[in-house]
Amino acid sequence: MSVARRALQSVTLYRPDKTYNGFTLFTPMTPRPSNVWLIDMQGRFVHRWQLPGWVRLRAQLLPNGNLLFGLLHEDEADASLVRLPFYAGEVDEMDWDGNIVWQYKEPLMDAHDQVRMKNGNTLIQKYVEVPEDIAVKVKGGVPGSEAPAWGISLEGREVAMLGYALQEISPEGKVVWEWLTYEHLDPELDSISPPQRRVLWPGWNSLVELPDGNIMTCSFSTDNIIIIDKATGDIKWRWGQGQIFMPHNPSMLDNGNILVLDNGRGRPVGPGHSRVIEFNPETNEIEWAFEEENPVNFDTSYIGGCERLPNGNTLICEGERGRFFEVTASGEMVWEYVVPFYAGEEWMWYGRYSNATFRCHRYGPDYPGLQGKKLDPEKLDLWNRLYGPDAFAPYGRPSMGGMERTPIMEEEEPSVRKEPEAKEEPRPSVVRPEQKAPSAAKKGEKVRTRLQRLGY
Amino acid sequence: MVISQRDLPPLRYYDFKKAYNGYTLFAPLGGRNVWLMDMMGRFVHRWEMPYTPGIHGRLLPNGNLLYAGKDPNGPVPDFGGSGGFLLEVDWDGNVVWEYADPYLSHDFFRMDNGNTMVLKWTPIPEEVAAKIKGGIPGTERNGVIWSDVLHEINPKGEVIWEWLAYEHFDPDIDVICPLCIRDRWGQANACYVMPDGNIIVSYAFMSQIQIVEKSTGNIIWRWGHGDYGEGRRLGFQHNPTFLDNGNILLFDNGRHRPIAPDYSRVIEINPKTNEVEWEYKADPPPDFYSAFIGGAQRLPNGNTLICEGPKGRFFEVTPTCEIVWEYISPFYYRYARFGTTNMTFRAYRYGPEYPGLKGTGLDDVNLIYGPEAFESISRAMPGLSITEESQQTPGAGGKGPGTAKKEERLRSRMKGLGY
Repeated sequence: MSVARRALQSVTLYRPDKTYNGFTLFTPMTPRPSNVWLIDMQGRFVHRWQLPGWVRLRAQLLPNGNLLFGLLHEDEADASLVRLPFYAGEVDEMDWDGNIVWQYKEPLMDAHDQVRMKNGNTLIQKYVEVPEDIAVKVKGGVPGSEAPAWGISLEGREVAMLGYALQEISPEGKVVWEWLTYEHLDPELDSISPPQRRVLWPGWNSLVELPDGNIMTCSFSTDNIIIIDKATGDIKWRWGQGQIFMPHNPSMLDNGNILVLDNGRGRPVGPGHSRVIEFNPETNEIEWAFEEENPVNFDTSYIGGCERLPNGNTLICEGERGRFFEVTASGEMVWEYVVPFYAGEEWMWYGRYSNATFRCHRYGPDYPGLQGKKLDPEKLDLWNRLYGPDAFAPYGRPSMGGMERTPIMEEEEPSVRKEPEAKEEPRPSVVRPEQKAPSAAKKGEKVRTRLQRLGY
Repeated sequence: MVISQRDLPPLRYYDFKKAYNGYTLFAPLGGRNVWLMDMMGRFVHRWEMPYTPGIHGRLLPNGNLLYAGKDPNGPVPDFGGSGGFLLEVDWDGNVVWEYADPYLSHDFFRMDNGNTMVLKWTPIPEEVAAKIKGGIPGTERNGVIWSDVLHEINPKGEVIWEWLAYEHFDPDIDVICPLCIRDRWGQANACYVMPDGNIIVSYAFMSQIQIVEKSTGNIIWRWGHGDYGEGRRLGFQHNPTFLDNGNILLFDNGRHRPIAPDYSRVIEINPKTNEVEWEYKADPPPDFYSAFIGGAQRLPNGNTLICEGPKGRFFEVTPTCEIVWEYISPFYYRYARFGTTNMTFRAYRYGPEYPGLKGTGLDDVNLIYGPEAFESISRAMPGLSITEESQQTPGAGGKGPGTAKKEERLRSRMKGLGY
């Protein structure tokens, strides 16, 4: 990890008059078993859920106050599918105190997204095999990168390509509706984008139930967003190829526009950056966009999210860097948080020191799911002292939250420090030997001792 | 700029026991200054040039600066890395040699015989262009595809050797990356003349490096080529250099690499076995990512100086991949295409024993290794912390109380440096 990046953590910016004040929920991806954290605007932990397994991607707070998440128990995991960094075997609902109140086990479930629908059912996405005659017709992707090349099989069978069954699960655990991707997607219109493996067609990372009951999904492998007509099963709208690259987390706004994170991975031109765009699905025109002043400073190639807040601000999760920030409609940054939790062990491409986080969510104090809940930083006092905002001095004392040695080098020697201040002034240019201060002899002696101690 | 990084001082880290102590040369893109600074980030010399970089400068062993300047009215203005002028200036900034060609691109190399190898662009004849494979269909530049040329220029400014890439490329092997635009076949961004006279050339749009045999013009070695499969090894790489051990060091940007995530790495390849013998990448890997520029230099003590171009971040790593020095350029410029950035194409480190620094006053090893140097380091390091003063102007340092005279001197010096 670069020294520059590890220098600051927790909340690094907060403009209370301009933010949408509330509580932010996030789940660091790499430490396991997972913890789900709720922080206030100052970065203090106000609630923590300890989970019995690994939330590969994200958890969400339901309006009833429970958490909903996809969970992986590594000891029970399918040895082949676990290679997919977004595989999970079950979906759980957990109450405020950590009791699992609902569970649905599906050994072939993808963890990317679960949706609690208005009717109380739950939408999940489950891996299915794309029939071989269809798989060969699918265009695009990295040549020769079908499932066997990654060691992926389905229930012990070798398959070329995985697709999804979109399933609606009733509270009793019955599948009440199913939609198969390979029956509806078009091998040409929904071709796999060039830098993606030919393993998943599509690679859904979002499921959204729209107000009219239709379902919007977003695929990182085919670079597009589609809307599925729930009644007929047809794909009634699709957009994105050639416009957005490895997109994540679309949401439908009240004005009818769609907000989405355009990760930008594989974009042919530009400096290699991400942006958040709001576009009108009727005209496909981009009506609002956020990118950094120096575009490369906001770049998350493979994960991340964005959500429009009630006051018009946008909360953005720069996933691979574990950084969340809130921007106003004019693009001004008003809040920023850097996740202080790191894996500490090697896992896939994430490295040892990854604080990657798939998405974050902001809930206002009026959110139904937070009513009557005790949001008290005191109860997590130890965590707040170790990883809260006060644990990270703003300058000079960078920290890795205890994961790594501090990058400050030698302890300073009192003998050198005691010199009169005027002499301590760093010079604008290199000091020539003849410019040595008169007290150089004495000083020289001290420095020599110090150097000797340092091994010179 | 990312808030969490904005308020930190340019020098982020310095371990003087492990670093290769010397001076760092860099030319911020968009500006007209070439800066030489010491390990503490204090500027010790500045050249002001008549042109913005096109796209970097190097300190020659004779003490002159060889600098490629950008011709703003050139015929290929929106090809990244376009140049136009090569200037050799002495320590005081007097022009001692000059070469102009509006088609110059990216890189140059001063050879031992005094000649200069340069890269430039040329449009490809239609019948050759028709055979080129790959790239995004229909993205030719007004129907034309350009390619690269090597020119060897003698001190009189005459072209004494020419090599046209499109005459030697094999359309079946040298395929444009499927995610790149089809207006350039190759996009050479580096040429390095090896001791045997052959030339290493790096082609970003093909994610491939090649060695051109000087005597025959044949391409005698390729690395990174192949289809766009999982085995593809390079992505938009930059800055190959030939090392004393016979290996090639290069900056692999990782752009358009198949399979997520995006990250850069610096690798050392053995051209005999085609094996990667050393690799630096960050932990987590996306922490070090430069999509389109960047450089790597092997230092005499075995460390490697890396330039993460778009972020203006220079850092030095040991062979065990430990960061021992890190600096972020404080020079920001506004670009229509890239926003406000401190991007820098490459950075070079020169030790006090470098021949080009002889007689400049910077060749005294005591400045870098002597007690005075360590003393100033130990003064500044406990801080590395920001003070009001050091925040305002890079290189100015703090101001002590009651030192009006010193401050006056400092101010006049700063003025001289163009602040």
